[in-house]
Amino acid sequence: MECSQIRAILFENTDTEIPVEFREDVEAHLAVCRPCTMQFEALREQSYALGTLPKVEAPRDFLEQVRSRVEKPSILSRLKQGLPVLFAGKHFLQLAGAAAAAVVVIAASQVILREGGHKMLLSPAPPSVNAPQSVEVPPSVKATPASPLKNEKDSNRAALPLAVPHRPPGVETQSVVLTVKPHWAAARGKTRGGSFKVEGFSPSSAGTTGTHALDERSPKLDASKGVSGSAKVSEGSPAPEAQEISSDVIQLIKRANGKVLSAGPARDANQPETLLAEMPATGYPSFLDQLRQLGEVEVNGDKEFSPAPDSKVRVSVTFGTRD
Amino acid sequence: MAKEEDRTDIAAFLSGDRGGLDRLVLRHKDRIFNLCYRLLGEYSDAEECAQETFIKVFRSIKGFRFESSFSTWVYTIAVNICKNRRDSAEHRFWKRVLRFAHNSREEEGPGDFEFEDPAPSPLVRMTEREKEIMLQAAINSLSHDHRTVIVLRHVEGLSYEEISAITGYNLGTLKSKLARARLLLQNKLRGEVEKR
Repeated sequence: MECSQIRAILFENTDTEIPVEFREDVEAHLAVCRPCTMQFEALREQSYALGTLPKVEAPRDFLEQVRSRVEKPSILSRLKQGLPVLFAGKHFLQLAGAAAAAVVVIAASQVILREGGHKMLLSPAPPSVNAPQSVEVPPSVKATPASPLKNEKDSNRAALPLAVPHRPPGVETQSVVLTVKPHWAAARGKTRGGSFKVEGFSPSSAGTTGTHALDERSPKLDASKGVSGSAKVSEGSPAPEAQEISSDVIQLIKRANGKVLSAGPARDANQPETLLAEMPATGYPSFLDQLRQLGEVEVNGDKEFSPAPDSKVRVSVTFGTRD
Repeated sequence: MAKEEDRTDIAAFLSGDRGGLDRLVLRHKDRIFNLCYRLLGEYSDAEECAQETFIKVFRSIKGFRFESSFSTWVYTIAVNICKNRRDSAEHRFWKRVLRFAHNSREEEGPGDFEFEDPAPSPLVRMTEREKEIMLQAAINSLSHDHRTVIVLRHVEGLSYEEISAITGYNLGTLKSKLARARLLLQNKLRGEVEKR
């Protein structure tokens, strides 16, 4: 047998007895082959060294560590315990309901924000009542520029609540123009008589509108006309009679639970005075009756005006003392 | 004798006596720890794997059917856990090795049982501590299969039958693997000596 064959047998049987069929050949070869004998001795030395390697002992607290790890549930077992609780009927329904509610709220808020944004962008200027071209516009009732609304679609946009901030939804506001010719003016004749003109007005006119309460407005009125009946009237200013009737009309508006939106003397002597007021429709008939005691009243150019009971009436009272 | 004690303790544990498992652990912990240490070469890894071995024993002991001895069953679990650990650590290990380019992963050695230098074993001239370091380094260089059969046979002193039961190799394959592992180990030892 060759050395490689003998060594293969030796490596396979280092720690066991050499099989009987090879034993004689191996012993004969080792007796004459020094390298194979040395190889065999090295192999046995290696086996002995491996067998005599020091035994490494486990730490003293090994059992305690194993116990603690055994008693500590694994992540998998914790999941197994937790998932059934999570998906138990009541908890699962609560979680699912909360999640669904959250989704609905988020979706609704998105829709509202989107549509609200569109409305804000599309909102036109508040609608206005244009003054008839045939009449002069007094300085205290200056109409706003014509509305940009051109068609029905735009009119629908104007009906949106955002476009009419001063009008509470659901309460209709009707307008009426009253022309008052005081009795004293009629008696005075053309030299001092009033020349009264019907005025259109815009409820949202800048600078002339607002919901000033009568009490807030009164000091200004008093300052402008002075103490009724005793103020010195400069040349070109309204006559004292005109100031008195204006004050009386304001009192009538107040009695009718109304409020003055705009009031003031004319800029010059040639302009009639005008009062803008708003009152509930229920107070309008008594206001009109009392106004007729002050003078001759023309309502909307003698047209019928009967406001709905649950509406508001915006009254433009024009009176003067000059023709 | 040990087999009977194992059987008794397993029965006690399965009947609710937690002390049964404690006794099993105390009886086998050192051998399992030593096996893990020789297979892995690191103390902390050996401690972790030995603990995992007994945890797995605890969790699956109800399925143990005494088809083999308890110690063989525990050895099998330990060998598999060490293999998994080695595989997971292998990536880091080889990254470290490739960084320094000292060795290649393949086990090098002659194709047959030819030796260039049939000198006496270098272990003869070493101290015990040197021997241990050299041998452990050589064992670590082997593949898992070769390392396992070497450790089980020469370090733990198990019989061929027990090793076959643990590894699943038949006797012929086991002998062949053992012969190859001894040859590779010897070459590694010579290589380590020459480096010095």
